[in-house]
Formats: sequence, structure tokens, C-alpha cells
Amino acid sequence: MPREKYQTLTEQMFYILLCLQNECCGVDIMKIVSEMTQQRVTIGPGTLYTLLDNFVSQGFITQTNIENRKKSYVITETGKEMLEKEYNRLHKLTDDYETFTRGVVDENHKKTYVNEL
Amino acid sequence: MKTTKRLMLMNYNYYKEIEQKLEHYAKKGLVLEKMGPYLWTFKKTEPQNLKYTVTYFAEGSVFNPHPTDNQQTYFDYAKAAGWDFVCEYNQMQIFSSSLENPPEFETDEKEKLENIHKCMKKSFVVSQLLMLVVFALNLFLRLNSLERNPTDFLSSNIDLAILLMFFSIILYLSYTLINYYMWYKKSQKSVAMGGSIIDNFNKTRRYFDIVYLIFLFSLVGYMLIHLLTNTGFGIIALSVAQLPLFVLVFWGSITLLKRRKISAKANRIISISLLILTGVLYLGFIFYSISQFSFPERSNKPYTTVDWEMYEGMTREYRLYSDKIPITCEDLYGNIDFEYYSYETEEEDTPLLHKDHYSQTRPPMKNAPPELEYSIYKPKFEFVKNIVVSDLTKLDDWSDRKLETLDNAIFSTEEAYAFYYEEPNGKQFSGEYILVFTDKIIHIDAESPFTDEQIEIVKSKLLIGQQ
Repeated sequence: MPREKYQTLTEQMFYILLCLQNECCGVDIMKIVSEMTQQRVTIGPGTLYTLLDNFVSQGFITQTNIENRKKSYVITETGKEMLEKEYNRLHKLTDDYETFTRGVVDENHKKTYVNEL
Repeated sequence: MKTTKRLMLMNYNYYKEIEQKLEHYAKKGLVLEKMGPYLWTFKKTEPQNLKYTVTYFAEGSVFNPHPTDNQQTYFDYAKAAGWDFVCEYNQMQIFSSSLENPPEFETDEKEKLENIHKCMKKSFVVSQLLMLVVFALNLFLRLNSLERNPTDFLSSNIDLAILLMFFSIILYLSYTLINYYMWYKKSQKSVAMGGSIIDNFNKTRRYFDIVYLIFLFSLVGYMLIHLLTNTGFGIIALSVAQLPLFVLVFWGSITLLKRRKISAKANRIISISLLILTGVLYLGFIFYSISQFSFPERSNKPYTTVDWEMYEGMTREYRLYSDKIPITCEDLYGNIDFEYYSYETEEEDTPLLHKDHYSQTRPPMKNAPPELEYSIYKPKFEFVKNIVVSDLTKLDDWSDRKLETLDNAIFSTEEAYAFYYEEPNGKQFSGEYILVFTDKIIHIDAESPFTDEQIEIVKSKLLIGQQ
């Protein structure tokens, strides 16, 4: 049984999973994430190794093939769910921000908000 | 390329300090090439601006014949980020980069901390705990010997030094472990709050380590000097040689098997078994050597030797000393015409107890003239006096020897005791006395109880009641 290690994802974890929607090898992940985020998010090699290792044991990603020691990975269904969960959470955060600071409330959220009150 | 070795007394978990030290060395033109437990090899080059990073990799091990596949992947990631693998020792991995601003090796403090902790639990913590157990066991044995023979123990500097050494090592190991766990807990808290790992590079701790090492080396140095001045060179050579021998066998085996590309598991089993086997064989060798060549004690005092026939065909060499001792058998029993007496004094002064031992002994023989032995103890603390008195007056379970309290007026004592045996015709005193004074305790072992006249001689010769 996978440990309940990751309730939420850090930016680096989020981008690794995002990047692995297409099969990709470890070394390339560092480059792609850096490009995706215009160098805002960089993943150190040590952290990359640890995260990939943990993700494999959590079942978020799976190793697809090894070529000349180059290991490639791709996201699994569990990983996709995790990514989706994180996306919804982030979305909820921005929505709440808008509700409580700018007063911009979309109808759906207004209902929930009023009901909760 | 010229290389040089440097002693690196770094705790396994001082990664920050190691990085700084290596960067400092590189600036001076010393570039790390290989690392070992203490001696690290450096290449002599032009001064360079290198950045170092020290990380831990769970699969790393001194027994691995070559980096594991996962480790290779790890190196590849590092290389792609501009970090070149330099060397490893157990789980510790060192990378360097000549880039001016190389990317951070670890970019997630929580993962970094958990990884360090995972590796530390596997090697650092285990080895510290193992050493703690070994030294606790040794300390227990020493304490046991202190309990059995407190007087001898407290008047022996070497015994006290060994006890102090074990005790301090245990304290130090506990301190390092507690320190590590405190660092881990604090870092965990900090990371959970979104902060970074607490810096474990701490000047006070470094000074503490240095002071402790100096203390430990002086203790070991003292013990070696003591061995050198008190025992034969044979024993010294045997006991000093064992450590380098064990290290040589263990490392030799690991290196050799590694070169033959033997698996880590087989290497570990073979090398550890070989080490244990060497230990057992060496112990056997020591016992054999002692039984064959009986290493004599070294002595700076003048003596003559006599070859004494113990029984048909078996002679033993006896040393006859002629030290000055306060009371002799001649003082007590009148002139004795005997040329094989050995008069010997031994003095030992520890911070707790001063001991003077005097003896007039002879080789074993029939119808022999009397022997005499006595010790004068001067305890430096009241509690030591109490320990010595209760030790000397202790009765053994296995002997029917009993203790009689004597009148203090006889020897002008605070307390006085004589040992006797219960015989059918009444108490038979053995001639062994324990005399307790304010500042000293005298333990006399004569062959027969003293007459009034002899008591006066003892009192005057040992300056009792005349201070």
C-alpha cells in the first residue's frame, strides 16, 4: 500500500508530473521544467532523483524503458488523479482569493458561500 | 600528477563544513581526488574556483564493486546540471562544479532532509549505536572489576585512565547522537514551516570536538607511555600492532574483493568474517606468545637473578631486588641467614589514592624463612578511605577467614582488625592486620600474629603515633 506521503504537491512535484504526461527521461525533465517556467522553477539533480524514486514507489509514475542507462518515465492513472487533485486545489485557492479580496464571485461559488454561512 | 593526503577529522554528517573546507583547499590548489575514513587524497594543481556539494545516496556502500545502476543515473542527472562526480565514501557522495553559479544540487529542503535522515539511519546512526554498545560493554566490565577490587583499581592510574576513556567515549557518542537528532528535529520543524534545513556547521561544536580529541589522544598517549615504562616491549608491540593489522586485513579484503568485482553482499560477508577470524586468531597468538615467552616486567631497579629449581628438571628465574623497605623480617624475627630474599617497594600515586607496597619475599622452598608483605594506602578523599577500608575488611564467601576488631590502643588506630580462623582449639590469628588511621590505612600480611615486642617494632618503624 502506498504511504499517504503526498497530500499536496510542491511546485517541483507538480511540474514533474505535468512534464511526464509525455514519456520523458530524467535528464530531460530538468530542462523541460526549466523552459516551461522560464527558469522560475528549477529542479536540482539530487531532488529530481529523490522525487522520481518516491513517485515510482507511490505509483504516480512508472519507468518505461532504459536505454544506455537513460531511464524514461511516464505518468500513471494515480499520478494523473494526483495532478488533477492538485489542479482543483490550486483552482480553489485562486477562486477563494478572488471571492474574499476582490469581491468577484461567480454564481456557483456564491451559492456555496451563502449556504455555508 | 602530484598528490597529497590530508587528515580530515570530519563527522559524517558535517556536510556543510566539508563543502567549505574543500572549496578552501581548491582555492589553494588542492583538488579532492579520493576520500577515505580519515585520510583524503588531493591533487596538486593551479588554484581553482570550484564549488562542492556533499550529498548522501542510500545505495552507496564501501562494499560496492562499482557504482550501482541507480547511482549511475544519479551521477548522470548531476552531470546534466553541471555537477561532476568526484568520489564517494559509503553513502557520502561528493560532486564539484567549475561553473560560477552552478544550480543548487537539492532544491527541495524537505526531500533533502528526509534523504539525509534515511542515509544517516542506515550508516551514521547505526555505527554510532554499535560503538556505543561496544564501549558500554567495556565500561560495564571495567566497573565490574572496580567493584571486585576497588583498592587495586583506585590505586592504578592505568585502570583509572581506561575507565575515564570508556566513560568519555560513551558521553561523546551520546552527545553526537543527541546532537544529530536535535538537528534533525529542529530542521524538520523549520522545513514544515517552509524554512530551510538548520545549518549544522557550528563553531562551538567544532571546538568541542577538537578539545575532546586532544583529551582522548592524551589519554591514549598516557596509556602507551605507561605500557612502555612498565612492561616489556613484546607486549607493547603485540597490543599496538593489532589495530593496524585489523584495519589492514579489513580494508585489504574490501579493496581486493572490490577489484575482483565481487558483489557488495559477498564482500560484506567475507570481509567481516575475515575480520572476526583475524581477531580470534590474534587473541590466540597473544596467549600463545605469552605462554611461550613469558614477557618479563621491565624494571629500572637493580636486581640479581637466581635460577631456582622448582622441582626435578624445572627451573625458573627469580629476580631478587634489594630495595629499602621500612620493616624487614630481620627487624621482627632477629637475624636470618638467608641469601635469596627479595626486598621490593612499589609506589603508585593516582588522583584518588596513594599506595606504597613493600614486600620481602623468596622463592618457594621447604622449611623456608618467613616472608612479609604490607601496603600503606593514603586516600585523598574521605569516600576513597571508606571504600578501601570496606574492601580490605571484606570477608570472602569461599573462605572461613573471620575478622576480629582490635583495641585501638594497641596500634594507636582509629579502627583496627585482625584476621583469624576458627579452629577446634580456639581462634587462630593469621598475622594479617588492617590498621586504619586518620590519613592512612596499613595492611600488613605477616606469617604469624605479632607479639607485644613486635607490635612496638612495627609502631616505631612505621612511625605510628609519632607524628
